[in-house]
Amino acid sequence: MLNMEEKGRLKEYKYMGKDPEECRRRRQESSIQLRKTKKEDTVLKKRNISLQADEINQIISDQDDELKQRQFSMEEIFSNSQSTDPTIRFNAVQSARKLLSSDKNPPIDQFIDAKMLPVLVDCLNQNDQPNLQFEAAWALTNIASGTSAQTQSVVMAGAVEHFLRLLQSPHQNVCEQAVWALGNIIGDGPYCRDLVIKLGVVDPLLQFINPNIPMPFLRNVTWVIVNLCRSKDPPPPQETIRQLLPALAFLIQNPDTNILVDTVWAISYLTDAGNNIIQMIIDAGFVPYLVPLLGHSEVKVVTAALRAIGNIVTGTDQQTQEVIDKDALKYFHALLNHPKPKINKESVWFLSNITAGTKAQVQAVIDAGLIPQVIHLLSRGDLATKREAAWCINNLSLSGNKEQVAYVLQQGAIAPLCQALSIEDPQVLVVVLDALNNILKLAVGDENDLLSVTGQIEECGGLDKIEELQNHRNEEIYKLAFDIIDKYFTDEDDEDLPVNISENQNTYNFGIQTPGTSSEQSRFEF
Amino acid sequence: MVFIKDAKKEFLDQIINKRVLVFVHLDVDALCSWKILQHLLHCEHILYSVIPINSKQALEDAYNQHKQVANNIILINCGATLDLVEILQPPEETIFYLIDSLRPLEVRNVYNGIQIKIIVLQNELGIEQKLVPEYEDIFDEEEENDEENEEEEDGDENLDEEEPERNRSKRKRFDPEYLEKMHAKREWESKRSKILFEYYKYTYHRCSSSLVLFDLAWKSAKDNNDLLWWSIIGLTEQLINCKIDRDIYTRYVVELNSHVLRHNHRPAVNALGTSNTNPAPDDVSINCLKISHLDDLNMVLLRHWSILESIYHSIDLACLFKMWTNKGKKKLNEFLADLGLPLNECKQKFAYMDSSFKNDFKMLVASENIKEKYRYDENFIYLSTFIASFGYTNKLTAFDMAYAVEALMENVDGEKNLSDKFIEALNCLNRENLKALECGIETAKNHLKKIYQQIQNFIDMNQIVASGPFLQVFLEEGSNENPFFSQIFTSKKLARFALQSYLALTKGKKVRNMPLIVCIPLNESNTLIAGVPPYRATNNTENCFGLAFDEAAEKTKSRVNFSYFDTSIIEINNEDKSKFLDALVAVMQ
Repeated sequence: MLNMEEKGRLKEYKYMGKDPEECRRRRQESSIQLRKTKKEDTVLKKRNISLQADEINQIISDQDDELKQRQFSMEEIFSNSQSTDPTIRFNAVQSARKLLSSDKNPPIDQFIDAKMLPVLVDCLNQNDQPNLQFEAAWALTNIASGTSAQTQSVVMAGAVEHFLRLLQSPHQNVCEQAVWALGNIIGDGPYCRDLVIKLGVVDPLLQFINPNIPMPFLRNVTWVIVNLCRSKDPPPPQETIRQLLPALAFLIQNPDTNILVDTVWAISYLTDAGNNIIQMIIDAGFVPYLVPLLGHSEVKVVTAALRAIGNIVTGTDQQTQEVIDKDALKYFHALLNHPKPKINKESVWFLSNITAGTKAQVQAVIDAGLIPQVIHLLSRGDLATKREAAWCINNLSLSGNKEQVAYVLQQGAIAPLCQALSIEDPQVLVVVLDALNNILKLAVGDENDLLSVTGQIEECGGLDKIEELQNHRNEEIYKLAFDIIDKYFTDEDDEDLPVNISENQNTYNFGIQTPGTSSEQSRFEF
Repeated sequence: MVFIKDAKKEFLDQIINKRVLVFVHLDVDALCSWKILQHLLHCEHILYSVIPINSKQALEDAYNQHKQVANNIILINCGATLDLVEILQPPEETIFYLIDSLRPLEVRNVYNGIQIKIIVLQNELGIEQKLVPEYEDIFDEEEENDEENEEEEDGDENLDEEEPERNRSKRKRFDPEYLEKMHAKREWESKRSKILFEYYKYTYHRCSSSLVLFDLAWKSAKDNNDLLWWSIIGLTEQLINCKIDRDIYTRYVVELNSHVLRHNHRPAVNALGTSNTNPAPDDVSINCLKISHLDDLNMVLLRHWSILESIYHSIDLACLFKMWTNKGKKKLNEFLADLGLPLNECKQKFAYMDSSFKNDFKMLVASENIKEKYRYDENFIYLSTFIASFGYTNKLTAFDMAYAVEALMENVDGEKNLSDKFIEALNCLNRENLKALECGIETAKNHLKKIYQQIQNFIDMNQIVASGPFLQVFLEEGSNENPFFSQIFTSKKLARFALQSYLALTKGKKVRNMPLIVCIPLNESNTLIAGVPPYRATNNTENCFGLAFDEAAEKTKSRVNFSYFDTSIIEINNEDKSKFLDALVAVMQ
């Protein structure tokens, strides 16, 4: 099985700059080859001279070997694979399989066009020749690994029933190959998935999960389960999910990292498919298993677990509370500091869904001491992370109470928020402006608070940016910007205001309350 | 391997009756090489066009402009380190002959075979071949065909980051043999990238091109004293610009001396039984070129300057006395006094000095007590070279010639374009043209003075500073001299002098092994950066900046132009400069 991690990837794998200027500059680059842009014949000529005679012979003999391996043409394979002589037929099917398994881009369409599929499917029927079944199943597996149309053609050839039958084969290699083939078919999408489910794949598949199954086989079975859980439009039938949950609960405890990662991804797909299914996952008791995985040493596990748990907190407040109750927040200090930006982004996304919850949930985030890090990522993260951080603050400004928002402001959120107004992403702009608006709204009660907030916004250059945004093409953005300026930055006594705003000030001067009415809101500490 | 084994048969004989196009880099060695080659072409009545080249872009432009002229193209000191087929896209019938002292050679050139032929010194063929990685270690035939697949694989790698590879919705099952093959290929590729990294790690120079061509002339029985003199000047330039170190220089001097003796032998005199004590070359015209070997004083342009000025501008001596300090100047006076030289004698032209002082001076500097007091050895104060005489003029050393010719090429004069400088410098190499030579020597002096003054500024202002693993020094923006210092050889000379003077004035072991970069503002948008390797008495010619610059530029996506064949000189966009320098620190650590 191809396992990239084991092979060890070559970092400076290859440089293929198409830009000639670049090529020139990269002279020192360690990758070299006689470049493709040169005409084929030049390349050949270049080679011939520089090769010694024995090298040439070597190459010729290499080519011979290749010829021996690929001695059958497509026609020969096609006619031989229908031979009545079992040996000829086996050899033909095996060459077909080799052709399909020795190239990144195997000639799948040629096989389909040559009408090989019915022939291969027929081979699956030969119970007396398990090796033939195995080779044919392998060939069909790789054909089904291609495009959707290629997978469909395997389904149309009636292979599914045969594969399902082969799950009962006494020969394990045949079983395993059938599982793999079904995995590719299920992986094509909800239609094929539900078709195979209807034909009864789940029970025989789950029977393989037993203590005696070899590890590679179990990995394959797990992967097929992932495919069964994939696609949420529509999600798999509830009955199927109910059948799979005990298996997932068993697999999540497996020591093998590959199986663990796959299992967690399967759960993350399920938790992405609506609150009903989230509830099923919670009820099946997965949360206490998932939460500790946030601290797993393997990034791949963390990524998957973060997604799964992040999906759960997109559910109801109650469902969110289940995650908080399992002490998930304690992992986020490390996750927000993680060197991988993707993990930062997903973590802030997670937190933004908590800050969208109840006041107690907002408080939990504050108590976990995560707000300073979120603010840091708002100013220093990559674009996607900044967007999530803006959401996080925005949600908090909506669902939090005054003290909570005041705390966030104390941590210095205003300046990074205002800086985020330079991001040319309409969604970010709306979210940030909305957040500022909410913050200002909360401060309105107390003139000191309001002055402090407006002062900070002005100081860090935010006011200039908001003013500029009044000219934004996007209607929502300019309205928000206009509202903020209009409500909070228009004052007769303020001489600093730009002319175009001051013109309007007499018409729209409202919203500033007199100091007397806000005596009880003096809890802001600025 | 496609180094030419027999330069006469595989190169000279191949171009007879054909038209050739010659591209000559603007450096002294290349010019001397061209003079030698020109003689060979004249002998064979070969029609040629010659074009001077100073940058990669110039080579490309000139090639595209003139490629119709000839299919046989000779490149001297330009292009052997570039992938010529890729860059120039020549038609199949075009053949390039490369004579280049710069290394490492581009491997694609070495293994091209059909279109590209590289000429190296015949008796160094074995060494040159060993320096280049083996063909099968770096080229993979199959890879050519697998290219698309690999690109796809690269795409998959990105996917991996989001979700693990196993998590794809569809998976192929690969044949074990195929996986085995891919695995072997990966290992091979990782080995290859290591080999290539080692190969391209340093830029350095090998045998001068003028020596390669003189060797060819000699083996074609077409050598004469003039050709020999040019090849001596070419070699000398290599030492002046630290392209080769002193040991290698000395080895070539010994080799050339055998040719000198052969050509300047006077058989007629001895045949007539004239007394050896009076070897007057009566039968040789005074106008003939006569060359002889000489252990000369290691002082720059001494025959055309005063002792005092020559010492000031000889970097080794200037560093010995720490000339940029008051103490240093006093120490120099003391030195001259110890030699018994009156100061006013030292201030007047060496040529007009009292001949007794002259002779004494040369002897005394190497006397034991002086050597001990000032802590130098014979190798420091004497330098093996050749001296030529013709006509009734002063004698000229090879160093004088090399400095003069280079000064003419590095001179900044808005009026003169590349070709003008090229012709002027070539004129200077013609010994009939004394005027050009005088002009060259005066220019060279002028240049050395400017460099000395700049070093003095650096030191007075403490401008040379350590930045992580290397030293750096910035020239001020808007200075009138910046265009002068940004000439390629001058920039490196300035960098080397800055490094050497800094080391002379600085204690501490750490800085001993530091290389140095000099940043010279070119205009509002660009800066030239030149890097030189750590200063060592020997083996100080391997330069690691080419690769480091490239890596730093790549990391920061800086707009860097590797304009020159020497990759340790780059031009960078000013906006990218600071991040580039930060990255350079990281790269070199």
